Amino acid sequence: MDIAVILRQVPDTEAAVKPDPARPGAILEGEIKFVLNPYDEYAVEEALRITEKLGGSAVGFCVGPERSETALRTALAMGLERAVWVCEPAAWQADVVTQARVLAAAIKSGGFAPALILCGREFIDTQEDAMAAAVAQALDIPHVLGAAKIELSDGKVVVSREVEGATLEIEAKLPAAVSCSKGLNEPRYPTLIAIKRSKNKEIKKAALAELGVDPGPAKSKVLALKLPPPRAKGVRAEGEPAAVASQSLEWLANTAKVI
Amino acid sequence: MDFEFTEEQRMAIDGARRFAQEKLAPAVAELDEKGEVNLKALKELGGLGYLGMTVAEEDGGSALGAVAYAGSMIEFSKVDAGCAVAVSVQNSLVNDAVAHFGTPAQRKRFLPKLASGEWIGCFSLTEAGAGSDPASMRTTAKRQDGGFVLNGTKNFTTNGGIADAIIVFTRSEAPPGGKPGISAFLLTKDAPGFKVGKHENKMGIRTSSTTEMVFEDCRLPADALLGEEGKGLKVALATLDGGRIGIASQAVGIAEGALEEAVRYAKERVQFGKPIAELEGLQFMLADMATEVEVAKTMLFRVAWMKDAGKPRFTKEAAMLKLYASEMAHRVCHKAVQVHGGYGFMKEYKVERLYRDQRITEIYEGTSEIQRYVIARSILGA
Repeated sequence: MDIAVILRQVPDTEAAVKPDPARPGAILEGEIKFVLNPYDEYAVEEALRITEKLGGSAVGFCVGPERSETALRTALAMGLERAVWVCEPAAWQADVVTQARVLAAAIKSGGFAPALILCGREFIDTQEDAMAAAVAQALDIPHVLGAAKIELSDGKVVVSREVEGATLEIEAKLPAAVSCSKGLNEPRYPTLIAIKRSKNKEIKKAALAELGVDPGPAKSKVLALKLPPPRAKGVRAEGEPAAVASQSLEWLANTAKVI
Repeated sequence: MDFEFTEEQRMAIDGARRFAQEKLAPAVAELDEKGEVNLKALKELGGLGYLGMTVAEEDGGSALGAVAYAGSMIEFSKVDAGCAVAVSVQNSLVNDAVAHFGTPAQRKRFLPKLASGEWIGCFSLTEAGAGSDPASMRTTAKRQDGGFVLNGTKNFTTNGGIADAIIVFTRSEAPPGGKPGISAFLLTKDAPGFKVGKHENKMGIRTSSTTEMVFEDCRLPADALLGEEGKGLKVALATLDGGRIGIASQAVGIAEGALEEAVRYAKERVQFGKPIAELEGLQFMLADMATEVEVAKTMLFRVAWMKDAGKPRFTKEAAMLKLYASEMAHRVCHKAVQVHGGYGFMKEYKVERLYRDQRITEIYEGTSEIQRYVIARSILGA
């Protein structure tokens, strides 16, 4: 079974992100370390487990800027066979629906016809979670969100999703796009040998013109990235315990208006 | 000159950092308290290739080289310096000695198992009466029935209690008309007459195993000899050059870990109405710590690069590196505890462990005094 895995590079969870005053909505990238989106690792791992069991190819697809290559290498070192990458600014600066159209075209290109398209359930930086759905829309195939378990049989996929206090089981016909959540599996660490071998795996740059996609005007755009305002100075109640208590109550009731 | 990591070096080091955070960090405080080894993690590191980083691929290694190894060691040491020394012993002392001095049969039998972590190895040189002066060792190897019989007790052997493969150094009989020398042997733990002795209760790197190794009429076949009979000191000294890269990277990792903790704490801890990081006295301390770590790191990667570039000897540079990095780590850990004040003295805080872990780096694989002796001899042309 052939599988397409959608890959995204994001800032490391520990990175201290600051808005870039020169580019609305963007962050200052100077010292930031970028990694493969952690949810995408579940998608890569699941694709590898399925293809190791059933055979077939697991191929990565990415729309992203030049720096994305390290994330692609990580996915190749984990075990993806090859990757296809659209790195033109017109593609990665576009809105998510347009990016999905580009990815859909890339996935279909070169006669590749995956039965399953896997994607992380969201990008951990922007919390964008529409990619799998938008790719499914572009390919006119079913979409299932947030897999904690994936089972395949007879041209169908059954996905378990954890919901509040219960598990939802959803069936869809293949081909389908499924976004992957925490708990689906434990992503492998690339072995050092696999890291070395990944150097020889193909990362094919696909051009928009060659894919026949015109991004067109943006359907939505990010206006700004704003940090929360710094916390205001606290109020100090002083004196005897009784006075402190009544001052605090007075403040909570009349100033903060929370009681 | 190029100070950038290659893509694969960077990926190996990133992988080490992640492994340390996910697999070593959650367990280290409890294992340190109990004095136990994280053998599961160590075996996993073997499976990933981190126990065979300088072993050739045809011998089952990952052959990433000394730079990637030093960078990975820093990451392991920041989190679990005991696990890190096990990694260092395996890579630098055991694998390198077998690779350079082993016969084709020994390499074939030992290297794939060592590089994959199926076997853990140890390097048993020190004795109660022979530390900085290994030539005074008393463990003997006598020729008998076409093989050797070993008698004596080694001590302070890192990985002793978890080792499957053992390199041991003994006095050898004088050849006719010659002087007695030192010989190295390579054996497995099931050799008749060998047993693990006392397990040491240590101040630091408590997540590593340190034991006595007891040889009582331990019979070994002739092909257990590692290198030439009587030339074992050469095996020990040549191997220890590479070992110094491992211990220096351990020291750099411990120091960098302590620095990170101190920076974090200084920004959080409020005294006199503001974070102590805003006090110039603290800022100068942190600036000195960061500078010293950077200097040692630069030396470390240069010596590792020399090894990767195949420079025949880097004894002086390795001695300078090990001396500076270990004493630097002492100063940095001392200051990191100081930045934490009373909390730095409490086991709840990571710097307390790093401070204890650091101490041994000035002692093992050549004390600071031995490093100074080596450096002085080299610059004086003695």
